[in-house]
Amino acid sequence: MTQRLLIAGLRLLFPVGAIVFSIAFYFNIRHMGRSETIFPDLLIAGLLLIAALVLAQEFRALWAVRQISEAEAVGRLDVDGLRSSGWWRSLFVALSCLLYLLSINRLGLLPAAFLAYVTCAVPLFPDRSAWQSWLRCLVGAAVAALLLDTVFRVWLGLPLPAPLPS
Amino acid sequence: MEYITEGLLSVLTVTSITVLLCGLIIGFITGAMPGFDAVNAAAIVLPFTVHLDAQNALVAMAGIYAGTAYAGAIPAILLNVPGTAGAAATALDGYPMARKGEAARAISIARGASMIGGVMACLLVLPLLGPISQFALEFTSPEMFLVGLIAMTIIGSLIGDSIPKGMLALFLGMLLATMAASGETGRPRFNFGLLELYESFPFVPVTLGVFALAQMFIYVAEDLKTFRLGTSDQEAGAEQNQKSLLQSWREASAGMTEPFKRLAVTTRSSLVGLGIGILPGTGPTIANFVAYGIAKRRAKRPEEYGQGTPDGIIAPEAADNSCVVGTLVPTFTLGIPGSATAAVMMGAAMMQGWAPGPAIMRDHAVEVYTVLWGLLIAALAIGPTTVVLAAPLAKIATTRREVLTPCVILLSLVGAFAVRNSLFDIGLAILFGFIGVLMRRTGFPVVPMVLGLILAPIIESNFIRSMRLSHYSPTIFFDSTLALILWAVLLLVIAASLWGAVKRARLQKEVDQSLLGRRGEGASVLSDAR
Repeated sequence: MTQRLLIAGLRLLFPVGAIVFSIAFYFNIRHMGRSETIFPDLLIAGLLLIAALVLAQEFRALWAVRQISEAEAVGRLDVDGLRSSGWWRSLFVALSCLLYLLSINRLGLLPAAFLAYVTCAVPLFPDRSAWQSWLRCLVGAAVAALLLDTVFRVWLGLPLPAPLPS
Repeated sequence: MEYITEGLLSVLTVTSITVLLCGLIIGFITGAMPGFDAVNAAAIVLPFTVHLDAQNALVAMAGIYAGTAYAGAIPAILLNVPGTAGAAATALDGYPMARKGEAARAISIARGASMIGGVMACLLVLPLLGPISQFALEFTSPEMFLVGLIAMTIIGSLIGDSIPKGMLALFLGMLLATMAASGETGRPRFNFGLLELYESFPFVPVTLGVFALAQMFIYVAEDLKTFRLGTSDQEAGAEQNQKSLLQSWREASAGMTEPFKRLAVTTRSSLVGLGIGILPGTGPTIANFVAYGIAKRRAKRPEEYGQGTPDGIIAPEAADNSCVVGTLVPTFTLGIPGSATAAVMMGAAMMQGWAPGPAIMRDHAVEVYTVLWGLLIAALAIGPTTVVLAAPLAKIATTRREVLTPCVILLSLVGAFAVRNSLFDIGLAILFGFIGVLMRRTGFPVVPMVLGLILAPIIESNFIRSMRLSHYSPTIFFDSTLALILWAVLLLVIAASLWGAVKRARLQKEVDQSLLGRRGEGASVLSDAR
């Protein structure tokens, strides 16, 4: 039952999120003039209507599987591969993105890129016990970070984030 | 005619040709990587085009678009794993041909068909673009609003498996686009006090998030055993085929003339691709299957399809490449993107200060013709460049994900940062990466959301202008004959979409009933039917 509920919850997350977002939107633009709000108002009305339709579809799908076995119900609900066994790797990769975001201002582009590359690559090694994998990863990270730094500074000519005062 | 000639002269400069070839090679590399489409590459390159002028930025994008359309056939033929959605039908006959030991010939046939499809579509579109845009310029605000509504209906109903889900994604994208200052008064609207959202909702982080980052998050979540794409049997076959591609240039170019010998199939498929491409929101995914289906129906020996017949490669490949050109017709004449990649191209143009809408051809005709000539040159260049690059491209098809993923992620994050030097944009890209994963995994198409971001400003500005002209009376949308014709078209599109949905629901019901009869063995059947 738990898996079935989890998948049902995930399937409802996007339409429910869209409804919450559009309601928040509606209350945020009340103080404005007619020309500024008329189009968003129509969009919100349309979005709420469509979201209600989607929710009805989803509930119908959930209702249809209420009496069948857990495994079969999960199979029918999870058409798009929601229950991926490798979700933890995705989490690691997402973590590497956040690490980059948090460290670019503190460490600078080059070390931030190096760190993000390593964090991202480690869970993807076919064999984490082999030292060659680690070496390949570190070399790859160094090359990628250097290349990015060069592109950033030389080609784009953009200012790098300010380093921390010593 | 004057603009067409000027466009040709503009593209024949060293800078434009260099940029075009760079784009083409990036397109080849991306297309050869299974699971990576033109839109992913265009999204990653988008932030870097800020440093080019508008013309060269679009020429680079055109090169990527053309290169990806061809190279998607390589893994489809070698591994039975299409490199792009537009090459899915190519695998049906390309892979059986490769298994017979004719991989080099199959790839050459795809190359020849791609060249002819691209060139033919460009030659047809070049003289037509001017008259179409002249006609589009006659449209007044109410009519442009109705054109926008028609585009919305087509996009929402054709992309994805479910009309409500496609529409919800589209409306959400449009609502996000209104989170910028009002075009009428310049006052900020619904930006939660975030100054970063004042000018417009940032297009680059959204595209990078939903196309590049989300794709990578999904990519790495798959079973590690499938990291080397395809089964070990497929890989062994692919390695053998790579060796045969290395053997001689003669072998690598064998079969290129076959699409010329089967000109009826090539021409028909190119026209089908072009026609489908012109419909907003459709793109190569639909075109290659429709062209394959028509070619099979009209074949003298349809039973040969699926066994490795050259026509089964020519039809989808010619359609795929001509569709690329077709998607740019509504983009440049109406300002309504014909596909997700065309939307990213539109985003690149908007970052250079172009205003979306029919005025594009009036204000930037030379640049538009330069892009079309660029596509034509790219189509011609596919032959010689890919004969040389055949073997390396075949190797790219089996790139390991632990190498590819961190590189794509770093490029996406730096790209998100580079446009405005803003950490906020990196955060937004990550957020939309998560939203993209959730949408894909729950059956919501992401393309309508991105198209909604482009469409909303066009529709809103024309809607507000019309309402102001009529003192907020909706009768203005029924005043002219052209408006009434557009209403009729809109109703037809809605009727066709509903008819399609009813047919799909019936099929679903039949499958469900058969499943009830055969409990326990039906999950795969259900997913196939969907």
